[in-house]
Amino acid sequence: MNAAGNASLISFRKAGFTYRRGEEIEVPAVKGVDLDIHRGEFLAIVGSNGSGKSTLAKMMNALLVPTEGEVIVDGMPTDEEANVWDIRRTVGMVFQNPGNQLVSTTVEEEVAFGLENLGVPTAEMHGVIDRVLGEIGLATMRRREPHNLSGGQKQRVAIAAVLAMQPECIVMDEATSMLDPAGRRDVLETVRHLCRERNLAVVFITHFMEEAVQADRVVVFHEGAVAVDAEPKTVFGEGLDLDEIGLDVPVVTALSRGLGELGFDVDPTITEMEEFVEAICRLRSRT
Amino acid sequence: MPIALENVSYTYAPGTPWEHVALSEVTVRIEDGDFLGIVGPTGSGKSTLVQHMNGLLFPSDGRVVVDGDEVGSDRKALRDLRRKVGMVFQYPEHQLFEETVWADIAFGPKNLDLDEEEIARRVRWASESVGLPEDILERSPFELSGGQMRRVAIAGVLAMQGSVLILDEPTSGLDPRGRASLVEQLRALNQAGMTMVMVSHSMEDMALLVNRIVVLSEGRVALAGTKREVFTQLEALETLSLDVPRVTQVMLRLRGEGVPVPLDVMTVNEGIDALAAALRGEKDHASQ
Repeated sequence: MNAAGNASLISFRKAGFTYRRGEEIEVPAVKGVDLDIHRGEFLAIVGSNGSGKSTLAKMMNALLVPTEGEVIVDGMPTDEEANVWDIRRTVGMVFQNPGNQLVSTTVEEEVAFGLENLGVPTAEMHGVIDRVLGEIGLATMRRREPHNLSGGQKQRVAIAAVLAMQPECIVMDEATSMLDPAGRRDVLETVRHLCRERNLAVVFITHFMEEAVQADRVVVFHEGAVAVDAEPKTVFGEGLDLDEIGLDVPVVTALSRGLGELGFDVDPTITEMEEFVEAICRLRSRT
Repeated sequence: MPIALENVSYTYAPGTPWEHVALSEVTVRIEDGDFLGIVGPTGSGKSTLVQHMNGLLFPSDGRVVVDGDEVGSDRKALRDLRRKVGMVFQYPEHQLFEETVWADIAFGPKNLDLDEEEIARRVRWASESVGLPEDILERSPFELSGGQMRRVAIAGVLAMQGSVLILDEPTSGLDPRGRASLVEQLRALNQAGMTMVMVSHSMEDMALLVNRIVVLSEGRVALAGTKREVFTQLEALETLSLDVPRVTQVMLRLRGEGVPVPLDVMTVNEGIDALAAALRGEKDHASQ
């Protein structure tokens, strides 16, 4: 259970993963991770290139099976072959490149693709497609070709296709990194909505600290292990040595710290724009 | 070696059902030593535009003039042009192919018939310019991290020692530290005299690097000017759903609350200075 009383959906128990190539044994990409992802939470994962974030993500829906320890999804260990399909229905993935994961000629076929594979009857399938496209705001685009959509729209189609499988969790692996700013906002808003309204757990892997700040919880991943696991305020505000692990802080946090160093009384743990504006206004009214 | 695009229009697949006008009457001039930024929403014609700068595409209408000569289809002239104007595409690390980093960076210069000594000098200079440690040069590029692979790809273009470097989304997908150090290295290259053109969605990178910005929208120049001129055109940028740098957004919000801060503030350090000045100014006023 977490603070909100939600049970664990994905549990890493001393889980590790080492890529092996032939006889050579490589350095482990993920080592001894204990981590719980709860139902309905919005978790951001940040970390430098090569920190093992993507390997960790792939362990969440049995795309990779731990080489040590275990990962359990909704009670199902990921290393049992018989669980794989149920696990992938429970935890859906959206990847970085929107162009590489769309396979169909229309938006609605893209969403239908997974349902057909499950043998869902046609009549029922139409209902699911209508509902999912409506929820993601793509209802008017159902007959469009995915390849002619913008990057943000393509990622929303990918999210819709995952959503049609009625998952409990959606994992976004740097899914905004190839998008323009409007596309990034669009995708982030969509997953936040799903998290709030549908109690869907969201795992959001990103290099953009301004996105991570909006999560309920932030995990800083470093050299294959969890370095910090806390709410955004603690992670970015409390002067943790993020520089050391190649990360930065949100702009308002950097401004607050800079002003603090110049002797102004500004809380250095500020992470949100509104808080910062309030703090500056308070300072002014005092002078 | 100034580059001028004069009234350039470009149409993909003309006369077919897929016909698509990517550029309409675009005029852009790049002076020696410039650092020009090109921004615009996805599909606004940014990549099509830069591909005209080294003869990868030819205008359907209008002309491109480099160093006084119009770019045409003469093969020798084109080869010279592409040597002088280097292009780093998006995700260039996908194009690495040699067995060692050294061989990958040396690939271009080798095709120029240079002697071994000159090739070695260029490989060393190019790899230093992008901060690749020497012990990496004998390794396979495929063992490197994404950020290092990106640098190898950029070094390969630098080793041609052209006078203009064009970069399409050079920092995309890099972590914050990798991004910051690459930004520093690009700035140093420009300060050493290289003319640079950068396409990017990152307004933070624009704020740190470029001196002028061209904003494209639906294949046309929507805005152009110094970066301060462009980043203070807030309404126009918003209409195009483009951002201003994060620090500029903070200044805007504060102005809305009546805090007297300037709007042409783009980096964190400028922001701290501007805020400190505004807060101190008021305090002095109050104590008088």
